[in-house]
Amino acid sequence: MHAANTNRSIGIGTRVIDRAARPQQSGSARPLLSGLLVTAITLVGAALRIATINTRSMWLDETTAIRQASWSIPEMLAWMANNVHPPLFHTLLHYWIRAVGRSEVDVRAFAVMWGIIAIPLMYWAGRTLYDHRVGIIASLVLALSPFFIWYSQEARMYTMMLVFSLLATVALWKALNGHGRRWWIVYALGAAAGIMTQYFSAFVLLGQAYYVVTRSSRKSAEAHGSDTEAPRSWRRIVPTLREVPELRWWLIASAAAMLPLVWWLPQVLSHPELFRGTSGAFNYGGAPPKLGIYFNELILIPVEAMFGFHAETIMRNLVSMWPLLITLVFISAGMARRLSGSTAYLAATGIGGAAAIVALGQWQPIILASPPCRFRW
Amino acid sequence: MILFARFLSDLKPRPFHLLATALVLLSLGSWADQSYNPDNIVKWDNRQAMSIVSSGYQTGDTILLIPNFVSSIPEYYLQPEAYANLRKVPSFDAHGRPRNTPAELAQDLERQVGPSYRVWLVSTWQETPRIALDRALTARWLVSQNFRVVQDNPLRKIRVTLYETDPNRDFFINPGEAQ
Repeated sequence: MHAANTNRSIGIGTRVIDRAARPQQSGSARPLLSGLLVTAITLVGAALRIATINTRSMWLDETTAIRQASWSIPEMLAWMANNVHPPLFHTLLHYWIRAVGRSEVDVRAFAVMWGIIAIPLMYWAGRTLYDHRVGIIASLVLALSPFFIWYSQEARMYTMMLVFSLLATVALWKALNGHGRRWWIVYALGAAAGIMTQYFSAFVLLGQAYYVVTRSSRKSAEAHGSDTEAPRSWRRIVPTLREVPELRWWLIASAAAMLPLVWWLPQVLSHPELFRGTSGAFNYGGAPPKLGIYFNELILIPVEAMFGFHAETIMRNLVSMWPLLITLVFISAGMARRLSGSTAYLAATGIGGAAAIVALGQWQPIILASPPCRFRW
Repeated sequence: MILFARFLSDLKPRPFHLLATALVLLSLGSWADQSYNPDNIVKWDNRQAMSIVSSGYQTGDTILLIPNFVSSIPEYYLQPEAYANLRKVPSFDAHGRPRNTPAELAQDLERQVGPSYRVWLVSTWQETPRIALDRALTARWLVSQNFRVVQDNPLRKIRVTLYETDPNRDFFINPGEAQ
């Protein structure tokens, strides 16, 4: 039986009620149909990404990535340590360029490849966390999303980050729900690769950490016959670690995921100028822009995430539909009165990470305007 | 996205089919517009701009690039000979401060343009006032040196202007400033 339906639901701060098991609409009954559907969706997604791969010029970030990836590995690593990105994407792109070439299509094909891999992975995530139907819809939305198509065609690390984040998310869910210890290894690898691809992957892990800790403390409280969801004090941590093995395993896997940072972070921290929030245009003679969470930005980000990028007049019209968006949020909030364990897990992953981004954005406003912040939607 | 899919999957068949059809049509329409509408807000005509420079470049030309931090774009698109004659404007002093007062720019441009009688002025990021001012000051200096505009290509988010002057113009440089 499916894990999502068999495990007790765990709250993320609000009272959570178990969702009645949904009948499995797929799985063993219709594996061939599932396979065909996912293959068809992946092919459509691939066609949309490949057909328009070359309809726009390279822009600054792409040519900068190509420049850096074209250097020798030691040169590139030395530069990356002084840059705002971890080195995994650039290292792989280095070998890709050597093997495939450096034309616009060649280089963007690397990002397209990750963008295509993400489609069946999204199906797998939806099916694992809910069921076949959710998996199919989620993969279809990803395959057709103009926003994700745009980033799949950009010679940058965002689709690679998406793949590793999805992998870590599914692996952690499987590990927490008793699918075997090998999933802790997959989680550690996915999390490590994600962080070494884009530092913003850490926000996904932070949200998951919140979920795991809350779930564990609830389990521990239940073991003591208490109905409390949150630990009463920090003194509960050690007994919780003893009583909830999954918390121990999660700590071990997370520590393993951070191992590459033990090698990488000291090199980055030797460049304190990175943390002054000045680079590129801001080094040019002006102060960094004073950003904040503006209403317009709050609306623009989901609009971009839903509809992609268009001419200014079209974007203005789409943003003007904000009352509709807010209505949808309220409708969804109303439907979310009863959260399943899977929903709580995804909400913690998404909202917990977003909250961390907003908090950090108050210290370094540029974080709020960065592409991965948008990409997390 | 998975939560959104979950929301859709819980709908009754009729609203589900309506929403799913709307979603597919909207996505495909957005994809087509995003891909083929040249007025897209995040499209830069870098390829076209560099192709203009590349095809019109002659040995001895100087390319002035404003701002200086976008040099990876011409490095990617231009032929090596043209890229070797690219000069970034403004330059930086020993403390990392941009040398972009009118006097500093004039002093540096004198050296950067040297004896060239054809200058390509490639400017982008013009929505940033300081960068737009650097372009204006550079253009004014070129005109003050008897350069005239022979070709101007204002493209999307990037502009390529070709300046020319008398090939036999006098050119002197202070040996102390030659670097």
